[in-house]
This record gives sequence, C-alpha cells and structure tokens, in this order.
Amino acid sequence: MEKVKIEKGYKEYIKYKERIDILEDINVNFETNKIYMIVGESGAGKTTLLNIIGTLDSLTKGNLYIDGKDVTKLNENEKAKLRMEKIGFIFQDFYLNKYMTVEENIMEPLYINEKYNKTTRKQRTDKLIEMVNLTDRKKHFPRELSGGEQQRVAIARALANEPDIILADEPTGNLDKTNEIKIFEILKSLRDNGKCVIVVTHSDRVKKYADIILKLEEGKLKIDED
Amino acid sequence: MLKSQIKAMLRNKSNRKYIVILFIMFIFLNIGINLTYIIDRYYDIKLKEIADDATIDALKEIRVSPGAGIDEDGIVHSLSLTNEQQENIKKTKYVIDFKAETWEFLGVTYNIYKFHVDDWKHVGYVKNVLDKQGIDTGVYGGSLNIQVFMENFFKVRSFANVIKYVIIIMTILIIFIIYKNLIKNQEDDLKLLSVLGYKPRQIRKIKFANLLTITAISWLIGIIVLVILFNIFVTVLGKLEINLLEDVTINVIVYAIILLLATLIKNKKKSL
Ligand SMILES: Nc1ncnc2c1ncn2[C@@H]1O[C@H](COP(=O)(O)OP(=O)(O)O)[C@@H](O)[C@H]1O
Ligand SMILES: [Mg+2]
Repeated sequence: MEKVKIEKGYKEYIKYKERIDILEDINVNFETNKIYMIVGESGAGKTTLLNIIGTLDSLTKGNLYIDGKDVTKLNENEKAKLRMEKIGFIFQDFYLNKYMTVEENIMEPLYINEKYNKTTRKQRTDKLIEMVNLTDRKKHFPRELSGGEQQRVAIARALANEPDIILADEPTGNLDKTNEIKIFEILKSLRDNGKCVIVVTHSDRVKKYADIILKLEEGKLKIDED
Repeated sequence: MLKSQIKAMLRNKSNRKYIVILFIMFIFLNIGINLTYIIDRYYDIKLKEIADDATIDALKEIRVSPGAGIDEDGIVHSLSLTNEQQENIKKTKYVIDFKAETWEFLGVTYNIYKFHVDDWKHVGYVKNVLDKQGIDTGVYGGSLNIQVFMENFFKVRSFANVIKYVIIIMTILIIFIIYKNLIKNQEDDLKLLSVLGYKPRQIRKIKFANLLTITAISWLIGIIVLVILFNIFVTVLGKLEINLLEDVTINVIVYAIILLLATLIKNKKKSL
C-alpha cells in the first residue's frame, strides 16, 4: 500500500546569496511492508529529504502526499497532528530528553493523543517498554544506558502513537555491530507488521537490511539496482 | 504534560543554578528599589540620637516675614503676601499646616507666615521652590552638629540615588540574560516536542510554564529572605512603612517586561 509519495520535488537553500539545489525533480513512492534505505554521501541531502517526508521541512517546489493526501499546504497545527498520528522519528544521536527517565521519555508523545487517559497512558508505556526489552530500566535516565539501549528507548517513543511511517536518520551511526543488528531486527519486525520504514544512511554495511535502496546523488534520487 | 516537563526542567542542574541567581537578583532588585527609602529611615533614627523632638519639629518649620515698608506719608506699613502667593505656598508639595500670624512691635503690626514641611529632608526642596517664586523664606538650620549631619545625609543620599539605579539596571540586565539562557536551555527539548507532534501553542505553553515555575520559586525564596532582612531592618531602624502593593506592582512589571523581551529577542536559529 502506498504511504508516501513525492511528485516533482525540489529543495533549494539560499546560502550567502547563492542558490544551492539540494533536491531536484524527486519522484518517489514509499509503500508499507518495506524497508527503504536512502544512501548517499555526507551532505547529499538525505537528512533534508527525510525531514521533508516527516513534515519538519518543506519542499521549495512540488508535492508531498501522505496516505494520498497532499500535505504541502497544511498549516503548522495540521502538520503537528499528522506527525503525531502517522510519523515516528529515530535519530542518530537518539534525541532523548536527558532529564526524563526511560518511562517519561516514552510517555511524552502520549500526552497529546486524546485517545489516552492517565491509566491507559501508563499501560501503553509499559507495553512499549516491554517491546524494546527495557522493563528493568524503566526508572533509569539516558546517561545510565548504553547507546543501543538509548536507541531502543527512542524507537519505543517513535512507536508510541502507532505511526505507519518510521523515519530513521542514521539510526545505527553511533552504535556497534551487536546493537546495529538489534536495532535492525526491530525495524524488520516493524516492516513485517505493516509499517513503511525509511532509513537514511551513508554506511554500506547496513545496506543488507534494505528491501529497496535509493541513491541520492547530485540532487537526484535513483533506485540502486546492485 | 506540563507536570512531567516541569519536573524534567527542574532536574537540570543549570536551571537550578539559575534559580539561585534569580533569587539573589530578586533580593538585589528589591533592595535597589527601596535603597533611598532605607537610607532615609536610617538618618531619621540617627537624627533622633542628636536632636530632641522639639528641635526636629523646628527643623521642619519655614517662616516668611515680609517685614515693613514706609509709604509716601511716612507711615510704617507691614507688608504681606498676596492671596495668590499664600495659595501657592499651600499648594507646594510637602507643605503642611500653613498659618498666617501677626506680631506687634513698636505699634506696628507685622505679618508672619509659618508652615511645616512633612519631613526635614524636604525643607531644602520647598525653600528652593519658593525662592524661584520670589518668596523669601527663613529656616532654623539647627546647631553646627545638625548642619554637619544634614550635609552628610544629602551627600550619602545623592550617592545612594545613583547606586540605586546602578543596582536596578544591573539586576535587570542579569535577570534578562538568565531568562535568555533558560530559554536557550529549553530549545532542544522543545524542538523535540515539535518532532513528536506537539502543536506550536502547546509548546509555547510548556515554555512559559517552565519560565514561570522558575520565576515563582525564585520569588518565593526571595520573599522569605526579604522578610527576614526586613525584620532585621525593622529592629535596627524601627518602623518601616514599605508600600507593599507598589512594591509588588513594580516587581511584576519589571519581570513581565524582561520576560517579554527575552522571548521576543530571538537567537539565531539552529537547525536539527
Ligand atoms: N537550513 C539550511 N540552510 C542552508 N543549507 C542547509 C540547511 N540545511 C542543510 N543545508 C545544506 O544542505 C546540504 C544537505 O544537507 P543534509 O540533508 O544534512 O545532508 P546529509 O544528511 O545527506 O549529510 C548540505 O550541504 C547542508 O549544508
Ligand atoms: Mg544527515
């Protein structure tokens, strides 16, 4: 099922009065039950593309569709609601709140979801913590966890409101081999549960986890056949 | 939502450090605002040590004696202030109980006007104002001892007036910088909330709830310490009549303006 679509997408920045084209004529579909890997050199525009898909950034020209709906013209509140309902972000440096426990970090997205009250919020959090195998670390702060554990907290938080789209920006960039495998095992199980997983990376090592590899080069996005 | 955010914010050591600085600044600001008042009270007490009540009362008295003139026929006439001049004196700031009296001397009746100024510190001011209107006034300057004392007071007072504004400006500046830093400290966490799907309005609410909590805590500690200091002042200086409502209003206005400026003056935007 088609989840995300970009049509004739362009992105440019004006830097020192000079125009830089980051993305040029991007046409791409992302579907459920797949892990996409966007590869490309550092500075190629991978993060920019991922942020555009996640509505944190916007196209200069062209359209972005999520679940068939054109989100290019949504206002900030509508975009925020869309992020809450449909998109889960995972970052290279985990981006946890340092002053919140594992439990509190994971609970953060649940406060803005009307579906939950105090009791169900707690239940949902416990379930998410269990899912990433951190039940005995519930009351710990990020600094007391390893990188791999921190990333699992971030994944649990990203999944809190059951989004269909998971956007991961170099999720294992700061992790060792063992943890990398663990994280991708989780991402694979998410794929098998009907999510659309889009991972950005500049490392060749993790290419093997992808169903589809897209190469971003000189602003153009192409399917990588090999 | 707010509760967990505030809790996390208070766990941050640097935020707690800012609360301590904010509380110290709160004390300084309030001492600054009341500095000249405290000095005035201190000198009131001191004056009571070197002068009795009657002398202090005399220090507050101003007299106008226009004297007498001789008309064309050679008859001595006492001069008097016009009604307008008398009204002007009564209307002058700090003047109380204006009285017109007469005094007979060698068959001539002289007019004498007497009035009090509410405070010995204001005598100079009133004298000056009337001087400018061409009304000649006389005061009892007190003994040499008292004159030296007063001279000393006015020196200290004008110095304190400068210090007062220096303190106020410095503390306002420091409070402003602290608020800017508090806002900066929050930036990353607030950006994260945006990623998670919090609406701009919800984020703004959290930002202000955090700032207000910090302010409230620093005020609370500050007020407790001020009350203790106040009690020390009271035992040293006697009764202090600080206008509480005015004081609170000044504080609220000062802080509101600082907060507003700190929020409005933006730092350079940092991307994710
Ligand atoms: N806000 C911005 N303003 C100007 N240039 C930017 C901005 N964000 C990113 N860029 C530029 O866009 C290019 C692509 O950045 P990015 O998407 O982070 O690359 P990647 O993630 O592939 O390393 C870089 O050259 C970067 O300097
Ligand atoms: Mg990047």
